[in-house]
Amino acid sequence: MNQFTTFGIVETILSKLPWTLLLSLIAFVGGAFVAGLLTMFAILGGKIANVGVSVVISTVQSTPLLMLMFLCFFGLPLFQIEVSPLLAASAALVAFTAAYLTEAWRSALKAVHAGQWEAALSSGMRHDHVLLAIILPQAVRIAIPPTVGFLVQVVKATSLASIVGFMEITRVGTVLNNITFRPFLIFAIIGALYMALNLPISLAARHLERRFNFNR
Amino acid sequence: MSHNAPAIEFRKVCKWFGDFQALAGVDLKIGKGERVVICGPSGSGKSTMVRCINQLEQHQKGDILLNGATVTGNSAHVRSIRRRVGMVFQQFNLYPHMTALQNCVIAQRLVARRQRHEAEDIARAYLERVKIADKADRYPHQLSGGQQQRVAIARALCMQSEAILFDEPTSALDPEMIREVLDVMVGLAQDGLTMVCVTHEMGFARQVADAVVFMDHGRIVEVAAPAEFFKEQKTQRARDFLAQILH
Repeated sequence: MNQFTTFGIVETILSKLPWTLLLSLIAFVGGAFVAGLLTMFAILGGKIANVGVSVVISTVQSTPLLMLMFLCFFGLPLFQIEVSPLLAASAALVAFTAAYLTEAWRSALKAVHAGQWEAALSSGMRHDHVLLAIILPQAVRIAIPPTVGFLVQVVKATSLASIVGFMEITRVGTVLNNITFRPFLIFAIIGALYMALNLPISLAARHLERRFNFNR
Repeated sequence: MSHNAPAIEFRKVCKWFGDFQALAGVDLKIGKGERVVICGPSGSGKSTMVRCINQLEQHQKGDILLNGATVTGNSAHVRSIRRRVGMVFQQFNLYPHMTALQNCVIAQRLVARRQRHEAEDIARAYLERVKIADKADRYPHQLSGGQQQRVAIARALCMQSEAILFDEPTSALDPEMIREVLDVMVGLAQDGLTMVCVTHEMGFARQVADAVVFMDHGRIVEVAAPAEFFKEQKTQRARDFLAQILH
């Protein structure tokens, strides 16, 4: 029954790597987009918007990502919404990423010294001009390291999509393991792949942290 | 000073932070071109008073008038007031991601809607004025405290406003840098700019102020010309205060 050579195993796992990358990309880009909207809404929308966003964020963050995936995959069909494993996993990962990034970005905006607001407002600048020209450029510097660092978490979190049957590298690994029963080889390869993806990201995050760590 | 229509007028201004009353019925007239120094112990309301003029703090009772018109109103009105009153802060509050020149240009572009070259010419002229034109392309973290504060003064001057508020402009500076900032401020005072200055620099008050305002517990306790004020204080509180800061 075992027709997989070692090379065959490696090849099969690698063939699913694009799906891990795609899922990471969807999660990160989608999550960043949603986080951008939520952050702006929270900052510009007044107190109620800010509290509302906080509630959404803490709901998502206090729920295991796995539950979000189950909810999307098994829950949405109850409302007659057909979801593929890719869609369910993407939706859950976007929510997961958006919650974290919104928190990080909102904190970065708040971390800019209040005196910056006062100086700009006292010159007669409009609230939105102050935000865009004065606060945002400083907040971006604060937010870049944690944002890039979180990309590592996203890449690793895509492995949970295997639970809802999405065929990325972790899922293909469990399938291969059922066939060949060579867990050490298979999961070591998969672990190494995640590392190969994440190591450059971690290094980039560290580099950016040093580069943007400017103190006035 | 009575022949001048007031540039800034406080009418029974009250301000609370929660239960704490920061301003308890402040009345004051500041004429055009007048230099007023506000002093008093910490927590006496002097910063709050100045910050109410451009509505960085909102007072709850009374009225503040800028050339006869109230400063309170909707956000567009408040912006137009701020456009007409410059401000210099204790902590400089320069924009750290911009050079000295850009710091002076940004509000001219966004608020005064000046063309880039015009705004830059004006910025360079005022940086020259505060004797720091050679540092126009430096970032704030590359400048000393005194230099940063001079850039901040130039930034305020660039808006060519009717008055400038100084909120303890030398309090965050090392002693050897206080002089260079005060020299610039004395120069401005001699040019007839309306200045409201919260400071403990009594030498500056003596040299340029038309009036010294002494505050305590949210009230104006004494207003006098500096010569009078330093010669003889009417109240014990002012005497105690001066005794403390002059030693």
